[in-house]
Amino acid sequence: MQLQYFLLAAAALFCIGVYGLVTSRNAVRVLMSIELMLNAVNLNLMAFSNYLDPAVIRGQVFTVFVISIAAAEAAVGLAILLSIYRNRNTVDMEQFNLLKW
Amino acid sequence: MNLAEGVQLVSFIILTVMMLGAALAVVLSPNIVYSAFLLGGVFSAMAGLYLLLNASFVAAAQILVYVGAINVLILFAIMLVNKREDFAPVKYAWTRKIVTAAVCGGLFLLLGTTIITTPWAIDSTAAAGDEAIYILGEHFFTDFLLPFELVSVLLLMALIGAIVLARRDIIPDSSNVVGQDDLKLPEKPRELVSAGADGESS
Amino acid sequence: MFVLSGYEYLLGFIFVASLVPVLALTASWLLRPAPSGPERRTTYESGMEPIGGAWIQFNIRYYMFALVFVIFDVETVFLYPWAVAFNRLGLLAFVEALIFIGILVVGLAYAWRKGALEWS
Repeated sequence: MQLQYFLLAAAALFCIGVYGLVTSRNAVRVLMSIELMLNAVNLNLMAFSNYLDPAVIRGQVFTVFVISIAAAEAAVGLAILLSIYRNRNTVDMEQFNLLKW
Repeated sequence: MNLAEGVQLVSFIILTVMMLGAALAVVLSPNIVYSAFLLGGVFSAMAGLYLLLNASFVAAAQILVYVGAINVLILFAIMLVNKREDFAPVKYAWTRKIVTAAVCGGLFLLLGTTIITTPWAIDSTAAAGDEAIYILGEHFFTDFLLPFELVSVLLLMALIGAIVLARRDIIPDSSNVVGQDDLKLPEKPRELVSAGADGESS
Repeated sequence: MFVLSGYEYLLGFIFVASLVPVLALTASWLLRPAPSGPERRTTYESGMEPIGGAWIQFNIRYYMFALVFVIFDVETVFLYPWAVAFNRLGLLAFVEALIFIGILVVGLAYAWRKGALEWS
């Protein structure tokens, strides 16, 4: 197995995440797409850690930090979503237009 | 190719197909609850890929944090906003999807070309393997000490911020309890924002 | 190059474990009588009549517990390598880990004070 296989898989996952991020109507699914993109980044970091830096494994350290930031992001993002839902009574992204001209 | 490499390649293919298929279903499934469960499948397949990359601790952390915590949080949030609402159709939604798909496909092609044409400087020293967790611990307390401490501040901010944002109706009335006033947030009584519901006619 | 050892047992375990639901469902599909009646399609809740659907709106307290759980789950991920490598790291790392825990204890105190940990 080569480094390129893992990188290609991560690139495909990242593109799926971007597609979901842009086209989703449901705000929860937007957050899920962000998690997918963060996972793609993690896979990249782990592949680099194993193939380019196998003894010092800085990539694994980065991955642990990215996991913790993803946890914080999910917690705050979903809390914001619940707050918006309570005010607007919908999770439709098209209705979240308070700042849209 | 010996037996071990063959097994690894087959595992990699199965895990990648599982990961990408579940990710596509997460994005495309009409039912958001199925999306959330399939997201757990994506995370589990990622943990398997981490094992193939000699990172047992990070694979365990992936299962623990993503499948055990974040996915559960997402499911709870879905059940909290569980309103069967049919989204009003938007004009040119299909154009948006096609354009986005084209952009994402182009992005994938670009990334793929970069990945294949770049001469990677493969380091062929033996991987850390089971020693990795000791090395991780040493990294956290030597050269990554500041990020390590900042993570705790970040988690503290996330905890407090999320409680403040989501809390509003968890305590119905706590103003008569002595000593709670200093912690109470000045919140104005909530009223439904009606902007956008009537102003937008597009 | 894969250097971890002992994972062939995990592979065998996953293989056997994935066979279990397939075999169980196939066996019950072969043995069960033909489905009949509307009661057959209702949710089985230990013999009780199910009240309402399963996809109801949850209480926000579930979210609060999950939120606190997420934060301290991540804390565990950071503390585990410290605990494993404790003998190599020494006293200074102990103090640093105490600072790490102390900052998060502030968050726990806040959550407790705000009633995020109480059900009533």
